[in-house]
Amino acid sequence: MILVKRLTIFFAVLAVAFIFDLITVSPTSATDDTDPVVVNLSVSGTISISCTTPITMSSITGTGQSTMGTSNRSTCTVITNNSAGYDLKWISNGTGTMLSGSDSIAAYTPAVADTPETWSVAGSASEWGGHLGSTSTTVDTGVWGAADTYAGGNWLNIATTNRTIATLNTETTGDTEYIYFGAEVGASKSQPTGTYTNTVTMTASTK
Amino acid sequence: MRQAILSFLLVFLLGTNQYAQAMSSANYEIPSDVIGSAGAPSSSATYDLNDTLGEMATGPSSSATYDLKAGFWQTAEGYVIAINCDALLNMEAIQGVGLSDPDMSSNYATCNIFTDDNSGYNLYWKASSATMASGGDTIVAYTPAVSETPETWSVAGSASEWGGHLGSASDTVDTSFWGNADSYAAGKWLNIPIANFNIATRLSKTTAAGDDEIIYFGAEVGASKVQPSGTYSVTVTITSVAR
Repeated sequence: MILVKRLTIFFAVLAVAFIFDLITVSPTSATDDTDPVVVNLSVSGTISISCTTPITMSSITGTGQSTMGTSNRSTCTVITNNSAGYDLKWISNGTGTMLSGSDSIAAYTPAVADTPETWSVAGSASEWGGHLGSTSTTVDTGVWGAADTYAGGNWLNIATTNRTIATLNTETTGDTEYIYFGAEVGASKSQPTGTYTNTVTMTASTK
Repeated sequence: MRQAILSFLLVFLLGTNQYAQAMSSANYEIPSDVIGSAGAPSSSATYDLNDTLGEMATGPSSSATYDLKAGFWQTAEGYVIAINCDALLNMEAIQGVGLSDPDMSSNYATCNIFTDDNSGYNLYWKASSATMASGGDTIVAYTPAVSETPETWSVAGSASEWGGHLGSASDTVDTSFWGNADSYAAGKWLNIPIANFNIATRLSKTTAAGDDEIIYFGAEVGASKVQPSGTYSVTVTITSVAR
């Protein structure tokens, strides 16, 4: 019992001695320091479009339709790094008609303005129009139809003001957009012979 | 019983708790160590406390020929090291593709380091992430041909990368390592990793004005790379450590 008490006192004294002699409480002694740098880099959006041209539509012999096929389309490639994507628009020049000298083929007339529809031209008329191909990378087939024919696709006049025909909401390494052109001379229409021309301008713009 | 007491004292005096171990690797160095019976860093909102327990015969002493500072804390006390860097760097924008700041006239941040440590300091950099990010889009870290070996800037046309370079006009810089120019073509560049990487070493204390270290940042979007537009960010932390 005496031994235990002596040992207790011994270790208590020893502990106090160690605490006061050998613990060093130091003020924060700077051995390192750090500082952050926030680094920002802006990458701006750019866009490019390239379309095949010219498009020589299949010919019409007197009356009837210009046969639909790859010869009646332009292929446009759109590239943009804009993370919000792009709008694709088309516009025709002049009055919106195809011209051969003073002779003209009028713009397509949909039943409801600005609403694509299956192709329909009166027998007494001659008209031309456009359609966004169903196999385009970016296309709303609910608007343009799921086929690239007069009867199965949906068609619209190409107006003399820009009209958006496709919208993508992200960047793209290259969208392929097929623009089909149709024309018809009605069965009772006497359309003067000639080569009818219009220039359609495709514009891709960042959103 | 006496053997038991002696054993206890031996353990108490020599201890098994290693407060810090001297360690080194290619990237790190802990220059001081101590073996004591206890002790560990602790902190409160106001103070940091570093203590050791069990060191023998600590404190300064001297003779006509020598000064002696015995004990772990004796040599640690009294150093001051401080670093102050530009907080924000907006790199020159890239228009779709190409280099940010092709003439490297503005893509840098300056850090001032002061220390009264006669042994100088090591300077490290590390990034909060290897990539610069804008939402889910990223610009990846620069990829040198040889890891951790600075080189003149080279990014493939199909890639986009960012990296760093220690400016040749820095007060402390090894231009044989970083190049003696601050351009993409003539300077030498590296990725900034997420672990500290030693970019400069000074072997003496600085002047009162400190060292100005100039950290350049580069980025490139390759000609055929479609890098989503946006503002890409990363935080680079510069650390100075007394030697």
